[in-house]
Amino acid sequence: MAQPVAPRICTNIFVATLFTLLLVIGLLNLCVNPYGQYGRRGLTPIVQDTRSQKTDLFNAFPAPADGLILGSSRAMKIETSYLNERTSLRFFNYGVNHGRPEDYLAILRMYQSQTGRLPKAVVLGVDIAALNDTIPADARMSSEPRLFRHIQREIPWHEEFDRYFQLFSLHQTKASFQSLARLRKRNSEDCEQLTQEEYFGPDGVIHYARRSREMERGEYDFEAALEYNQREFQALFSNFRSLSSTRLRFLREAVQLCTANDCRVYLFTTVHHPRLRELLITKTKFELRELEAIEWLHRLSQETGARFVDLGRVECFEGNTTSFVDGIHPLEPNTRKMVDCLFRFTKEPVYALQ
Amino acid sequence: MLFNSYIFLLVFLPVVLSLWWGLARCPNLRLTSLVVGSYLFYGWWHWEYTLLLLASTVIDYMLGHLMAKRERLSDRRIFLALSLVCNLGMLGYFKYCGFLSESINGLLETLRFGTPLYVPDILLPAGISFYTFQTLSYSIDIYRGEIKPARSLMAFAAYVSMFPQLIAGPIVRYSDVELQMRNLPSIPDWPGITKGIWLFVIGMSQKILIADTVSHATSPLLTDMNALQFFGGWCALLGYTVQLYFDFAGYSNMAIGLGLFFGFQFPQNFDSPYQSSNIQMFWRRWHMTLSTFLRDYLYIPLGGNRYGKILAWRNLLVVMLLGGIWHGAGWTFVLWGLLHGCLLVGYAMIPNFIKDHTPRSLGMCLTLICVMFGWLLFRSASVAMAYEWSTAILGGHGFESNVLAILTSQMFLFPLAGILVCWFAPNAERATPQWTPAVAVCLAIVLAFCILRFDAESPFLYFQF
Repeated sequence: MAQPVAPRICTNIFVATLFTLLLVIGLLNLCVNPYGQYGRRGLTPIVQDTRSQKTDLFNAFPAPADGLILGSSRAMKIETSYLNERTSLRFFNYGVNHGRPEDYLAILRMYQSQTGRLPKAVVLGVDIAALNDTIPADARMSSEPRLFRHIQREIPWHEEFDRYFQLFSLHQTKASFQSLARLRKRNSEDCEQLTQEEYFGPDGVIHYARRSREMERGEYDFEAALEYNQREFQALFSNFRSLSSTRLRFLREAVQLCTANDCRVYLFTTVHHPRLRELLITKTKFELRELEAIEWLHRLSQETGARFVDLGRVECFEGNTTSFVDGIHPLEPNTRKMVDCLFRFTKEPVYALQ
Repeated sequence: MLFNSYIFLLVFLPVVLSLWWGLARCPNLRLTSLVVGSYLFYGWWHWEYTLLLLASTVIDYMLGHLMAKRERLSDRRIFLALSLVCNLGMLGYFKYCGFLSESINGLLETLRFGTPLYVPDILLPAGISFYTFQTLSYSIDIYRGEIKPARSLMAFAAYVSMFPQLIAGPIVRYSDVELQMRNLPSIPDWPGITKGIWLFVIGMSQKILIADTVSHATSPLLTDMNALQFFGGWCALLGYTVQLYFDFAGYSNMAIGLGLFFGFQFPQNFDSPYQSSNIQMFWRRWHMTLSTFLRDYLYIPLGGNRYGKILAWRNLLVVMLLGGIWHGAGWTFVLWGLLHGCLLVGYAMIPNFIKDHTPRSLGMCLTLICVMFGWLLFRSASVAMAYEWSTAILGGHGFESNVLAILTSQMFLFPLAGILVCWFAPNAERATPQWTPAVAVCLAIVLAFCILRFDAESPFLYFQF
């Protein structure tokens, strides 16, 4: 049996072991960088690094786009071709995963700094959840310097800390091991399938490759996808106490930047599947937050001249409940109706064909 | 700031501890560093509420000194009354204002007078119930002449705001730490620190590995009360029973452990309460610092058991009712307090012959069932929810068809394992291990694993009180 050791030595052993373990875990996650949060190094992130991908695509887009679609993944299915039919403008879909007002503002500022002007039109899908006062800016934003430098000064300093604290998180450690396991399969068929799950066209519009195949074959499990959203959004809204004043300020600045530079803004609230809405209304204060957000957006619209339409419910744009990938991502039949509704009754400026 | 957060464990604690021991030769500076650290800790959520803490500290410090200067008890009374009004007034406003207005409106609406009162939506400052009780105990003890007033405002501010116990106890009385505050240790007490590490790691494991895991498995059962049936109801109740104990005992162990890092010894708060064989013993082992507070500052001043059985029972009922209201502003807490009052009175009525001949295991089971029913009220957001839940566990909502699936699922197995730990595992305070390098390494691994779980940040249940 081991003999008791002096408490001071034991304390030192304890602290040294803890420090070593955390160092190893932190270094592993920093090197593997599974979510692409710490710059572009290490292995390919296991999640889509949409800010970098979209910025690459935007820079490769032939001549700067005349119009931008901004928002989260929920705006990624809005077709630029359909908007082009309505406005004669060449649009680029700059929707990014977990896109929030800080992303919209950074993208617009980057556009302005690159081209010396602003686009002629911006279609901006606002997620109510993106105005949450308790969630920080998406950590992947700070790893995309082309965007981040336009907003860095306005992001609270502690959020940068939070990003590095995540190096010691279980979910990131698990993801690092997944990433390493995937590295072993790099040349296998599995990996090929993984990369083909979702991809962006040159105009930034998303293509759900795997899901489309499954839908065609009638094998798509919509219920599982909806259930995932229900869990995720219930958690998101359960701690959503008030609209974030910082995010509202970013959104106002983004819209004002556009309207002050003759850029027409079309704001809308993104849609929730009726079943998800129903659950959120009964279990969380979703309805109250939505109402507050809509009132605020109406006021912003009056102040700035931006057009705002609430498209949060399927009935708002006469959409259908079957054209959804899950509880929050509408498919083309719905996004077209959303665009129709957004541009209905407006006298769009006549733009010269490019 | 939460103990189970990266900012606390990786930045705040090392910095504050380094300052504390680094400034060992300058007692005033190290007290100042502790106060600044504690205010930072407290103000991390809402810095505005640090003003409340400051006000409470300054008021009680001044009143304490004014009281100590008066020889006669009657002269001191005015200052004690002022302290009570300030502390209870603050607690009343922040904690009970909304509840009172809502209840009066409800009553008036029933009588068809409408709802004339405005119901304010006031955010409860974290830990207000705890530090208010601490400052109250300080004033009362000075009034009684049991302690001397703090020698400096900084020393008193350090006592009130000391971050390990600020938010959710243990309720430390000034008399507990008076001597320690006067003779601050200049060199670390290594045996104390190793005990602190043990308690901190055990507390963290209780919170992260047990309470949160059990909560994750069972709390979804309570999202739809209409769908809750017999076994689901019991699983949820057992789950909450386990969660609440490990959550609160975990916090207390961490707080005591942190205190030891700084050289302070805080009183024990839990002594394996679910091993109690009767309800009286349960209250001697659950949230012990609150029980002794209520005994010394409420039960005994009301007369205690000095004036016969009937008055003693009345006092028990009053104390438990007020204890319930202290926990939260809601009718479920009132009912919870009354239930425990009745249980204690009921137990006091049982003849000694029966008490002495009841097998311990039977007593433990009966006590646990009574306590669990109390937790049902405690957890319910409303009386309606408590009613639905009670109906479910009594079979009023029917029985699940797939009983085997439930009994082999984590929603039953996790709470069951938790209860077995509560019944058979020794108390963390008593089970301090012999320190060897292997023990140190094991504890470090456990804490590292807990740190990995900080990503699913979950506040402590008692923060809401």
